[in-house]
Amino acid sequence: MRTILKKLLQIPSVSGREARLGEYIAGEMQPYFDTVETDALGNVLCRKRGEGKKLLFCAHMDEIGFIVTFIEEDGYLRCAPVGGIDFHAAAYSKVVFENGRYGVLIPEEGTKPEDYKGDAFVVDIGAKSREAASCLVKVGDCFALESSMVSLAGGRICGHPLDDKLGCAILMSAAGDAASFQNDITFVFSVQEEVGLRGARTAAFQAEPDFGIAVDVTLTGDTKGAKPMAVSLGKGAAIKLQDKSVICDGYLAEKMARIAEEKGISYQKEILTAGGSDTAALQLAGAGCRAGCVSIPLRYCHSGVEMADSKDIQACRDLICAIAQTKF
Amino acid sequence: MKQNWTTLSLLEELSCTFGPSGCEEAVADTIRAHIAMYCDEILPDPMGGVLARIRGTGAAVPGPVAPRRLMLSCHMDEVGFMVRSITEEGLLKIASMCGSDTRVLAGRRVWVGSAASQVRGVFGVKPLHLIKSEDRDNALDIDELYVDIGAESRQAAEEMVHVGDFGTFESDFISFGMDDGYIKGKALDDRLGCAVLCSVMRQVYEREICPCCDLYFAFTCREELGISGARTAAYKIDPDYAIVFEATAAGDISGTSEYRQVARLGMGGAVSLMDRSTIYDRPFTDWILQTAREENIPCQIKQYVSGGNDAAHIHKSRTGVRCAAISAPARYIHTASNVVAKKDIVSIEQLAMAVINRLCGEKK
Amino acid sequence: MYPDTKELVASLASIMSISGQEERGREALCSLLQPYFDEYIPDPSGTHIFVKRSGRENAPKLLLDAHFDEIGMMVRDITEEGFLRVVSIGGLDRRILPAAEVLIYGKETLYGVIGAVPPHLQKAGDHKKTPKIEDLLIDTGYDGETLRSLVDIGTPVGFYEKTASLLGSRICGRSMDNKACCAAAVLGAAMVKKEDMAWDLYVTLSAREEVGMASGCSAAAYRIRPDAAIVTDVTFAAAWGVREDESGKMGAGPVLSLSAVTDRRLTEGLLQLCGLRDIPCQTCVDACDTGTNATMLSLVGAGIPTAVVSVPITSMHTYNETVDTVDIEHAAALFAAAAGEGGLHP
Repeated sequence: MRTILKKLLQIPSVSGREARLGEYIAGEMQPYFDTVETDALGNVLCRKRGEGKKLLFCAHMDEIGFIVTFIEEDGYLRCAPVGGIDFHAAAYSKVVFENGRYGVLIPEEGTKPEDYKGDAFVVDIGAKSREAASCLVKVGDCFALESSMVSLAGGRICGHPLDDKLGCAILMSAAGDAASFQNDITFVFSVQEEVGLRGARTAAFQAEPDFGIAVDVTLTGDTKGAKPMAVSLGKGAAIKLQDKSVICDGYLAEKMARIAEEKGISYQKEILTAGGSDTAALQLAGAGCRAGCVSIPLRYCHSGVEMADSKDIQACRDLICAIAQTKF
Repeated sequence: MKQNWTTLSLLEELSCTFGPSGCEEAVADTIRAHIAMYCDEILPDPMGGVLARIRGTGAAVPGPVAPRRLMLSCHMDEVGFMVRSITEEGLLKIASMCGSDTRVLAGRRVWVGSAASQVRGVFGVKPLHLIKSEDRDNALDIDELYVDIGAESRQAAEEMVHVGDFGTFESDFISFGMDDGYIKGKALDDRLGCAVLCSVMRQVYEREICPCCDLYFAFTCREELGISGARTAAYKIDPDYAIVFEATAAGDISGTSEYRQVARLGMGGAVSLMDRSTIYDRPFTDWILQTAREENIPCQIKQYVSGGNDAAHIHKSRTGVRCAAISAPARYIHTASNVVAKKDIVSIEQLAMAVINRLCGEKK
Repeated sequence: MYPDTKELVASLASIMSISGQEERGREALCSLLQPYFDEYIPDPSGTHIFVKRSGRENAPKLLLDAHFDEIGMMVRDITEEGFLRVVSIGGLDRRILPAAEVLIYGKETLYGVIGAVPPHLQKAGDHKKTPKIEDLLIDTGYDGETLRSLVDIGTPVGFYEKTASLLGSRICGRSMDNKACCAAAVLGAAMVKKEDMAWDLYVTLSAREEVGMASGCSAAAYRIRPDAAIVTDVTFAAAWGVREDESGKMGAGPVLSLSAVTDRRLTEGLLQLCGLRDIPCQTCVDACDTGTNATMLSLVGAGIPTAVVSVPITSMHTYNETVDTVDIEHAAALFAAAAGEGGLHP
């Protein structure tokens, strides 16, 4: 799993620019599924036909990042955030473009931290003029904070962007057990979650699942000064009941919890008061479906130092396999 | 059936037509009258849009962008308001439908009524002389703005206007500036797109252009409300590719840093890469930019992430649609005084034609 | 023979007369009003003096003053990109400026739009603030260089809105303040038959009222030395939270000012005349100041008995001031009656 994750982290995939990652994932998934397709928006849909209900699992490939909007006379780049960038966390960071080129994200001199937003930032790629910069970067190019991953104590990992390459890695790893899956199973690697749950909607419209299960990260309540939240790092897979975008299907959430209990998989129930997930898009696409989400507890989400626990990651993988193996 | 019109004369007619969001019938009628002859079929649309179809030959499209069905979309509605109530004195209290900036309403002349008939009114204000000086800095709130249609009483007003009636600006269509190269009018966002697409349909017909794929021209409703008729139109049409023809807020005025100007008037249609509700399909967008380059048609990249349009709904329709957007740079949109450059109208129409030409096989 | 009220107002309103620029429209004004007067006297102050004589020897002189000037703007800067910055002339209501349409009276008359800042360039809370006039840019559609050849610093800028009809007899548009009252004065002069005239009637369409100097009116009055004067100007109409006791009702006739600075005997005379001739009218208390030329006019020379007759108006100092032509006609009837036999007593 760690190898898969490392590979995914190396391929940039800012929302709207997931094609390269999609191509890689599609290639990797080919052996395990009957069909692997990429739709108009770039979602990768992997289907293993089977008897009974249609189950869809969905992890989003895209990561938050930036888009170049303008190149200044003096070679600085102007940019706009793609997805929920926290500029306080991103200020003075190294950034990487899709072509591998580096730059640094810097607020304009004298900008007060409370005024940190897109227009106050420039990227310095070392170019001395518009002309020089234009040879290296074009308006519309995307970039993201430099990706990284390190191991910490107690089996914890820290890096970026774990949201939601971790989910993708879990699904890819689970695909290894595809032979044992019951039901009609579709794995979706979706696009444009970070900009408004856009990809999952069209993927679900196409797949028409009976049950839609997102696999995404969630916040935790165990960081310093955190708002109360009954999810902690290391306490197992989180079964989402609700977030800002969705109230999950009660039957499905209950069923997932029962499966976890039967299989002895550690889990916790999650109510997230900030943020949304593809779950909402799955629930409402086409004629709708019963929707839920297996969440991976993640500290410091959307920063360059997102942190997860290997035990949770394993629990999520186990839970997903167990769900796929349970006749619905 | 209207004949002898030009894109500009049609734009003038459309600009002066009454069509706030939710009350687009008059605009739809005008458009139907201009295009009926140039399409194979006009599909019924319960939302009130005009969905016109030009059949393709079914031949294989030569080139990398090979749509099965191409939707060309623009919206017919304009920002407006609705009559909420009528006061004892015969003034109209309104509910705004044009975003948060009510500063562009005070003092303006408006039309109030239905698609069939309207009366003139004025957004009157309490005279400045009787307002405390500290209050003069405060923009008028929507609750302080009333429309005066000249009625002496509620009863007199009710003979002409009803609660729920629609309203929008009155604004002359004016050519001005260097070589009369600019236009000022209301609702150029997005009657400009409508006029261009009507003109494109006529050209396809008159020049006997035979696209391989079906072309659907969608003139949609209620874009300005965010809940768009494009959503249902895209569902019905089920395209795999779509181009949205819009107007985008240009900030190319003195004192605005270049990087916040979004787009510049006179430099051609602004092609979007990303806005607040859509990330556009990059290969399709690049193909359009390349087409413009190869045909020497002026066009620019929209250099700011702002706004949103019908693509928001179209690209998420059904199993997803590859979307691009070409917008006329327009100053002061959502006011009575939209300003656009005539040159850009020509460029956008040329670009639309160039795109369609590339989707053709052999000529008839 | 007298003109249609709305047409007369519209014609007068179409003549640009921003304070300080009143002489520009002299030719147009003279040809418009020539049928109704015997004589035109230009005045160095910019005030236009039109005279209708009774033909009687030593007839007393009645001065009927309506200020001719209007609020507007003046160019103070021309940017490289072809935009204009302006200052305000008179008490412009700047709440109505974003996206307003203007005419720029340079070497040619150019059309322009006052820019409104697009939402993505606004700071939070901006939309609740009235922009300052120095921050506004007028979009002309020209590049800076061409614009400089057409427009100079100091070029007057006025509003575009022409006169238009609302329901009934109401009309709206720019400069109803004070072209509505100019029309009332002219119409009054046109209505009184020469053979009935007891007074020589001097109609002054005076300069520079909006900039608070009343200088145009005073200078002309000094030259004329009238025996009595009526100032006609607009007053607030009761609407949009304007108190009823500080305003007039639209359509209920001219408003006669009851004030310590006007001549009460003259005002009473006009009120009686309204009663006798069945002219609808109303009164309004302007205790210490009428806010019109009357205050300064009454102090000219040895003093001039002065009354104020007003037409109610809404949205004063915007480009869509609204008046009722009925009020203009009733005011005109009063002026005609005043100048005629059995009218005002000298």
